[in-house]
Amino acid sequence: MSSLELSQVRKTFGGTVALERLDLALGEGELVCLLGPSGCGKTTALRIVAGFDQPDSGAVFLAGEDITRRAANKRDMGMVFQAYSLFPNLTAEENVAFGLRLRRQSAEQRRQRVNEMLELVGLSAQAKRYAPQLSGGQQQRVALARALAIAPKVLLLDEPLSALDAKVRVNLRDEIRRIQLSTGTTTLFVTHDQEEALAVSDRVGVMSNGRLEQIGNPTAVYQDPSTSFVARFVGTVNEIPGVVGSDGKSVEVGGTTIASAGAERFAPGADVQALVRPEGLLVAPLDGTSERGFPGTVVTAAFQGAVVRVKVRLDGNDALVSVDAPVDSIEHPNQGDRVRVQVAAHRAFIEPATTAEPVAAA
Amino acid sequence: MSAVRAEVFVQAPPSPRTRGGWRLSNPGLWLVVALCALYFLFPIWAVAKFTLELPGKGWTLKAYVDVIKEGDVRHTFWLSVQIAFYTIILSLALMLWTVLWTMLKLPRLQPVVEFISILPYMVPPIAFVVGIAGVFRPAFPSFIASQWCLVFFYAVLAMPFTYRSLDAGLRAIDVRTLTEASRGLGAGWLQTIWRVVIPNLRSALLGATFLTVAVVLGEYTIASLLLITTFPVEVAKVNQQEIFGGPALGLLSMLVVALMFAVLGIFTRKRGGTNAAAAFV
Repeated sequence: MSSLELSQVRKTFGGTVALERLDLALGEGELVCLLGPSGCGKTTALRIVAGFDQPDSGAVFLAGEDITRRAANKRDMGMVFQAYSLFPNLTAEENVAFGLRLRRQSAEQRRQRVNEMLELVGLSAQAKRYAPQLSGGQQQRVALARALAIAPKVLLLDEPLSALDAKVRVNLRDEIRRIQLSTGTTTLFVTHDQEEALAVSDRVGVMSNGRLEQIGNPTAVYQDPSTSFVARFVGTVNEIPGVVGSDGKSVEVGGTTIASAGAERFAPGADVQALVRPEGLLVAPLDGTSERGFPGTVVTAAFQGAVVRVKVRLDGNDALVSVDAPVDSIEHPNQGDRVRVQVAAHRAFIEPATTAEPVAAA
Repeated sequence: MSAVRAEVFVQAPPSPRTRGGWRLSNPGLWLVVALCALYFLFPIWAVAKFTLELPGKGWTLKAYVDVIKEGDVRHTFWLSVQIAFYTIILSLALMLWTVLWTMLKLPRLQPVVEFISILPYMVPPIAFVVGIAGVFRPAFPSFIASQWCLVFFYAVLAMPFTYRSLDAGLRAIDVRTLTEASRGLGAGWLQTIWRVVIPNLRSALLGATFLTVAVVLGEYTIASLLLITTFPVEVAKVNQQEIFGGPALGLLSMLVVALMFAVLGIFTRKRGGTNAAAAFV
């Protein structure tokens, strides 16, 4: 039985559809991220789970029990909000104790639990501070401790890191995952940051226009997107022209044959474009030793730590192609160098060749 | 490059003698302040001098002592205090819930509620009292004859102040997130209002309270036309009968209100709360 389940949940605001028959199930102790651009319905889904909004139709189940019409304060869920939500009139420890006090726990029980939670988020020293005396990251950690203190059946995280600066965001992201694993709390995490979603989730659900486009483990969503939207939203992709192979299961791109689960949608020999990630391409010298790939000219080559992001303008095409080459695998190309871009990926999502101009494979 | 650097270092930190873009040495500023002070303080000084320097007796508090000794003055003051207390309770109970609910659940109705809240500004008290007397006297004669009917009418009169003070206070905190956080942790609506909203609205509630007291201690028309002798009606009566007692009483009531606002100012400055400014809206 799923810990949390949304079944055929639909929600409209005025005439706008925010959620269109959303089905989602979270296993016990699982962390699922809903990822998508602003307005895709991910926060609406979270608010329906929390009980702050009611669905037009469909149902929400908690451990098999229908809680669709249950009031928010009766759901036993902890939530961390995007905006800072600590009660300004209370100290950090009083904030953490808030839910415990409502549950009529004794002073001793509260004290123990508060200490335990503040220790978990590493803020024992700040227990007596009021919200305005804490940094943004500290406030969100206290909010997390407050949400976890009541031992919620489900933890809901509504873009809790988006107001923080980059370094704090990464640290707290990892901390959230550590704490979630240590407590084993089933967690629904909403974010528009794909890196964040891929880093912390057991599964990632990518949403667009109120629909769940794809849900799967981060590797599958990244490497094997099931729709064009997912391929484009999660990570960077290059649109490389290709032709569907005669077997109807593969596609030939610049002299390289790669597998594609979507190829059967096209007739053999149809022009398509393959969506290939930057690390699925190689940059080779244009020295005549290979005929594979597309010739082009290096526009920029930016060192990014582990890789060099090379941008190449292919001959006969205005669009730039991004290639991530491991930093020790190539000689650092310079602007203006003539190179050959080759496909190294084993599979790619393909879509009709509607926009891409034909590229002459050398 | 060095020129740019030099320019950066030439920029001095804001002068402590500059406040809100005005230089304190600006003579125009001092002229405005002096004129305002003259306009507001001169009449007060004149009343104080008139009531404290009695002919043939020099400086004395006799006018104040005499007027406070009068039983009617004490009685009506106590009545007005009670009416103010009940008005505050009624006004806050109605308006806090209304403002909070429209903000959270019915944001589209906010302009309508705001418009309704300023209606007491638009309707002259004389029209208001004639209207309510005309409606209530035939239907509820004992209600309109009771001094406590003023509580309901004063709650209406205080509505513009109460609404604005609470609205500004609620806007100063992220009330939606705070109430949702509270409810998510298991608090019902009443617990959320009691434990989260009210403690974070303390300054705004105090502001609304004192403004309501000011309204009640200054309202004459409605009470007078309904033949209820409240403190302001008594002040007017004393004013007609006692040449020094009337102004002394007026000055005293003004000092009481001023004292309340001073207390509020000290309180909000001490707390440095998020909605300190809202208290004075």
